[in-house]
Amino acid sequence: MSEGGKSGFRNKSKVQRNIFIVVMLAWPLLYFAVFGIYLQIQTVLFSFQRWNYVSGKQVWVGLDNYRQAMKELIGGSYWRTGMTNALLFIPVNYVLITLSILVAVILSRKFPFASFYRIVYFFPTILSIVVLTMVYQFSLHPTNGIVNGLLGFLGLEDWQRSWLGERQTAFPAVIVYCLWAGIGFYNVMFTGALQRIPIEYYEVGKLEGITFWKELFSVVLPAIWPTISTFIILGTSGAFLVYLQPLLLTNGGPNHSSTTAALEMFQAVLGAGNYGMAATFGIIFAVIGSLVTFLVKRAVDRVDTADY
Amino acid sequence: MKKPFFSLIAIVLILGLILAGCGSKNDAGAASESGTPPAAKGTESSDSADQEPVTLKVAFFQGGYGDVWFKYLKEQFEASHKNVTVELEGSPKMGEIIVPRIEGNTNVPDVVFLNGLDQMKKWGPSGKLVDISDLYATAMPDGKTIQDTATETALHSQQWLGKRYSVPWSQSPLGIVYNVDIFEKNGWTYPTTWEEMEKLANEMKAKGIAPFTYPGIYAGYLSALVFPAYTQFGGDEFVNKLTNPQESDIPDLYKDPAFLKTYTQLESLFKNGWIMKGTQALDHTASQMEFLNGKAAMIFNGAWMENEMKDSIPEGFRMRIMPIPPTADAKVKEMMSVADSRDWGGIPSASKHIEVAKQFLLLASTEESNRKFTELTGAPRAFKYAIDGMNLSDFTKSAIEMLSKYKTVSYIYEPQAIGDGPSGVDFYAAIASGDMTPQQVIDKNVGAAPDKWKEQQKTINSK
Repeated sequence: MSEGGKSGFRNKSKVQRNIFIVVMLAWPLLYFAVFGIYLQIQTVLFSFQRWNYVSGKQVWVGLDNYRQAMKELIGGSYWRTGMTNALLFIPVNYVLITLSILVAVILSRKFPFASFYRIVYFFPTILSIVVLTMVYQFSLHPTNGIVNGLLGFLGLEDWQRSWLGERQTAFPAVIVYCLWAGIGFYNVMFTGALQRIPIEYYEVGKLEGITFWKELFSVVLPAIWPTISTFIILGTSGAFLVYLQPLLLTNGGPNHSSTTAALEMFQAVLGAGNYGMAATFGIIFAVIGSLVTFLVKRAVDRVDTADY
Repeated sequence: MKKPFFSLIAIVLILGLILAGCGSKNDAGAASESGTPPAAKGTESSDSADQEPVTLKVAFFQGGYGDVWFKYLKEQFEASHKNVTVELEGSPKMGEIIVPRIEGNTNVPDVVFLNGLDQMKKWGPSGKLVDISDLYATAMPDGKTIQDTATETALHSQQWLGKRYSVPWSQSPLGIVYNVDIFEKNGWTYPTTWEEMEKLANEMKAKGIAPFTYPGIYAGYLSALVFPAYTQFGGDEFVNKLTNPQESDIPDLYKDPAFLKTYTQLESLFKNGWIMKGTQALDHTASQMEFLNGKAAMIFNGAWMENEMKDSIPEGFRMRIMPIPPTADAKVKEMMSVADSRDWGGIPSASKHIEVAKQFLLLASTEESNRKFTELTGAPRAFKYAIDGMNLSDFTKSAIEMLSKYKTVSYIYEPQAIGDGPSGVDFYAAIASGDMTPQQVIDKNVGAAPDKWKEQQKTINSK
């Protein structure tokens, strides 16, 4: 009897355990099923459909959207500019990472006001992007902006221009904005990584009498390489997601010259309600993006890291 | 022994939490249920007792017209419908945030007021909006019907495939807004022909005043010039072909000289340096601010501009809005402006208070509401109504005069039409930036038209 009771209890506890596991897993799994799997499948389906506004139905059009998309990418439409600009954001993100490491290394030295400057660099990160873009727009304003004002003050009137309104400068201005606004966040990440380097490494270096550059390349960079490689991969895949900055700064203009792949998709959905084409380009860019990211990851993984 | 014990506790805790969650929900429900009757009782005494309290959610695009008119409607509606509480939700981004809500049936409002007919045309046939064709013949609180009082443009615009899913909102004319002080100081008058306009622009340039500006990053504002120009150069026949083309019209329609003349006129603004320097970097607020600061004498803009900028207009600043003057070689030698009725109010099918929502739309369309709209926002509604005895600004008067005294144009495309740019080239932006010449834009459109037509036919005929 006592034995039966025991095993009964055990069975019961097993059931309860399973209930526990199911309950604990249900929410994250449901969340993943809806926002992870369902939306992806929906996007794939949308890319084979088009909106028939006479019948008010999504209709299947086979590969029409993909044919159209290829035509636009090859024929040189706004989508191609968007894709080129998205690809350009990959090196931009690498420059951003390089600058952030430099700033972090410099600010990690003990010199007066180092922590003040760290706050200065981090400050843009805590402000809303809308506020930041407005500040940036004001400073580049063609008639009242501080940039043109300074150039005039320095006697460089020839250099004054409508920075966000001219084809030659609009996209570079968006890039400069991304560097300016992005450096703070990366800087904090790299500062954290730098602080984890054991002090003995530096001391050995000092005893050997190595220079700043030697220390940077032989001690600091290998030690923080795991952090760097993570951000290189994130920076690569993130390049395909940039849209808010050009949307707020230039609305992709002039004549779509500062647009990005993600911004064109955004406008295809919200401006024209064209879910089919937006989904098609979404899938095409996702394929290109994963391919590029995969190649970059392979290259990054080849570099040896220092273990400590 | 330990593990089962812990999991038992965990399960109890979780169940407890779930039950607590339900419990508190029930409590909240009970509280709100028990909380409403006293509030409702107060109103019941003055109204019939059998009407249960209704909360009518009204979501609207809060753009140049602000939210004052909706606050007025809320007050009026709540006064005549004692059981109804109107909940307003306005946002400048309503056109974007409402899309997933309506299409995904979540948090759907009972009434929506949006700008842009595309969504009405999408949601109507797919059953997301209530067919309110009958509402047009229903008597409004003032005894009239929408059918009898709406403007012709509105009646034409606010229908899709023979049905009506929306009531008209504003009839917002686009034109050229000019700085009255700059004109008077220099002894200039607003020109009646485009040749005079050219002369005037050159004079302004010689004096160091920029003739024109517009919200450069939203090139669509240039339609203020382009749409009237299509009609002036092409005449009604051309416009009919453009909006209701037959297969035989493709692609010759896009070779019509009206296109070349219009685009050349548009290009001349930029080529001759009549557009204020730096315009292309400015959004609507920034460019309108430049105009208000006297940096440009004229701006391509709409009748909502005064209200949109009401906090920034300098003391004593005077402006008027005027139509586009015709050129000497125009087919229709009349000054005209674009006066679309492209914004609308409708009822999402997911609403639980469709009948109340219909009452709301009717109240919003009465003569009194129309007059109040004009008084509060300075913009005309897409209805015929008297404006006498109203305290209106000179700008608003000029906007209403533009609608009543001059010809207006509005382009409503039939389902098979492929628009004025079948190649997908954003031609305003391409011409404004100098990336393409008018002829290049036309060549692209002519080349792309047959494919676009086939594609359009396939789309609208697919099941």
